Amino acid sequence: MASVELKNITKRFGSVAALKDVSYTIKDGEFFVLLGASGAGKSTTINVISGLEKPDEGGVFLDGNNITNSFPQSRDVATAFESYALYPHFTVFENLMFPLESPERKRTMSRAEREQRVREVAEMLAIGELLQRYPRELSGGQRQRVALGRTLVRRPKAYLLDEPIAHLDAKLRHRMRSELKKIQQGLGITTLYATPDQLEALSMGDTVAVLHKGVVEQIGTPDEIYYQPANLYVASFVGDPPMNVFPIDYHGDYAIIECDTPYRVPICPDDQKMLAEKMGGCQLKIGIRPVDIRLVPPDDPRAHTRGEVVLLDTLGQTSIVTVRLKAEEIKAKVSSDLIPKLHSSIGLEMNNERFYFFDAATTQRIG
Amino acid sequence: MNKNGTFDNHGETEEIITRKDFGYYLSHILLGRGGRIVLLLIFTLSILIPIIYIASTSLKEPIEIRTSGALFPTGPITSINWIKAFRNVPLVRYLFNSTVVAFFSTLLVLTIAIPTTYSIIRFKTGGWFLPAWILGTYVMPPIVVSIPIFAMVKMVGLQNTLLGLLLVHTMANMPIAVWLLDSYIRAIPKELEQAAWIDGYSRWETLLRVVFPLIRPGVLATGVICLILSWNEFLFALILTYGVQSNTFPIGISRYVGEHGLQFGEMSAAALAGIVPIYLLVFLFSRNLVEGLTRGGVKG
Repeated sequence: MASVELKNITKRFGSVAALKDVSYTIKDGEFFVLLGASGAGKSTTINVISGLEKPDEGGVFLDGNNITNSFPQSRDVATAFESYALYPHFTVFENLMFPLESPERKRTMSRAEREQRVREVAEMLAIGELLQRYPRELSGGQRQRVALGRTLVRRPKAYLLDEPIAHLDAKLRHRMRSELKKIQQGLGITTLYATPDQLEALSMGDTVAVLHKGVVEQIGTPDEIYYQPANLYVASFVGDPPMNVFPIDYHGDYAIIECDTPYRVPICPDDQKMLAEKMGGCQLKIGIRPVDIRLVPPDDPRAHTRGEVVLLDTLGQTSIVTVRLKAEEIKAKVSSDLIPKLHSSIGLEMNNERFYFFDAATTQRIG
Repeated sequence: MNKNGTFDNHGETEEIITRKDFGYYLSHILLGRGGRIVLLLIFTLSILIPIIYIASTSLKEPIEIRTSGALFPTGPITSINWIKAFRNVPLVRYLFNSTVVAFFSTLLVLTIAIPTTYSIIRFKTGGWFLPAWILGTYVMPPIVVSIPIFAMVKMVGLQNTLLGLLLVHTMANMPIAVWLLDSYIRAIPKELEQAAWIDGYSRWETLLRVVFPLIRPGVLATGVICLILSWNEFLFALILTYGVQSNTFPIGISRYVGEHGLQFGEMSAAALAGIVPIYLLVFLFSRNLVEGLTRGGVKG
């Protein structure tokens, strides 16, 4: 167990910077999620911490010790590779045993203890039946579970998991999310978990860092990331479907949303006060989450604007309704009992207590 | 291709059957089970006939060899050629010399070529130049360098010794070994090594426990090929060795020419005695030359 600290890490591959001056600390025992699209720098971060890549600038500290230049073997971190990296000449059992048979750990654990640990982990990951098979005889999901298992048999200072459950089927993935979180809480081992899946990030993380093109856009609790996004990127990356964002013309108690059919929305008093203090005369953009839009009849006085329903995605209890004004589209997430007919005309009422305001120039959120 | 990696041509066959043209019959005859056996038979015979010819010649009376060119002996069968082959020429010594040279040069080649190739692939040692240069030396006809090599070997006083010849064979087989090992080492994803480092193993332990087991079939294949090349090598053996103590088998064979006229029968017996061990070796190792061991380790 240990804290992991990154200080001003920059890593370049040729002319491309995969990480740009990244600094943060993962606290001892924390479940830290690195959320970002592919190419954001998640794997590079893990490689820098595990020692597979040397940063061009900055340092990595494990429990306060500078490990920037030490070889992976001596760092005592465990990694689940996104590409699995199973040893093809070993059976599943031997793959899981391999980390426990390293010269150092062989001294501290007896053969019986090691086998016991492997069987526990195999059972938890539902790969107990596969122990005598070779990696080439496994499906993708099974291989990924073995890769995760090879990490979990150890009790390292930190787990570094790179999209460890991305290739499992939906049901198993759901189960593994809570299993992993439970294991992590039980062992209290500092964990860095990289994922492009915001749902995983928000449901599992104690702390979430949103990474974008090598830059940390925001670090915070899942609630902070969702309800207080630092900027437009975080706001539109987190939340499914993404936030609707439009430029606005702000007039105090109301604002004109500038799209192809401009319309007026009232601004609540709290926001008025906040904007009066903080906006400083900048151009504004407004963000409205699909869940904060209500569908009303087109002639209803509560409707702020109206348009045509062009797409319906039913996701069980909720549905995503895409409404087209003229050319521009707005997405609303509503209860499936309330969905309108396709191509019907519909009114939209925005919940003006849940507006997000951004500085159009800097993309930073105001408030 | 279907899931099992075999070709699945049901759909295609059906289509072809509808128009039974000449091509259909030809492909049916050539690719059908019977056709394949015939083709393989022709292929095998074309390789086997010279060997059968040698074997039968070694059993013919010297008179018959001179008068008849028949494939199989027509007269009485004799063992005189075999007896004379070993009595008139120190064949056993030549075979021993060849074994020493082939075995130790192959061992040396592998000892040097494995780390070299690994280093070229993993550490980009020598950039693009070193691998190109290594292969480039193989393109050159050996005769071109025969004089400098003779001079070099003589300079260090190793002419007419087994050590001198085996060192030259080591050098000559190095490019082909690097070239063969290249694809085997390249096939190992570097994530496997990285995973082992993180799992608590040093670079050396990783090489021994992960890399080496995975390239073993390739190392065996490369070793067998280097053994064959060294066993068969004629030119350097001819210019670097000139006595019984260091002549190898290919040079020994030429001893049956000249001394007592052309001794075809004895030569055939000696030739057979010389190719049997290497054939046996290849046959034994061919079981171990399995491929595809790295399959399934990493995604994609």
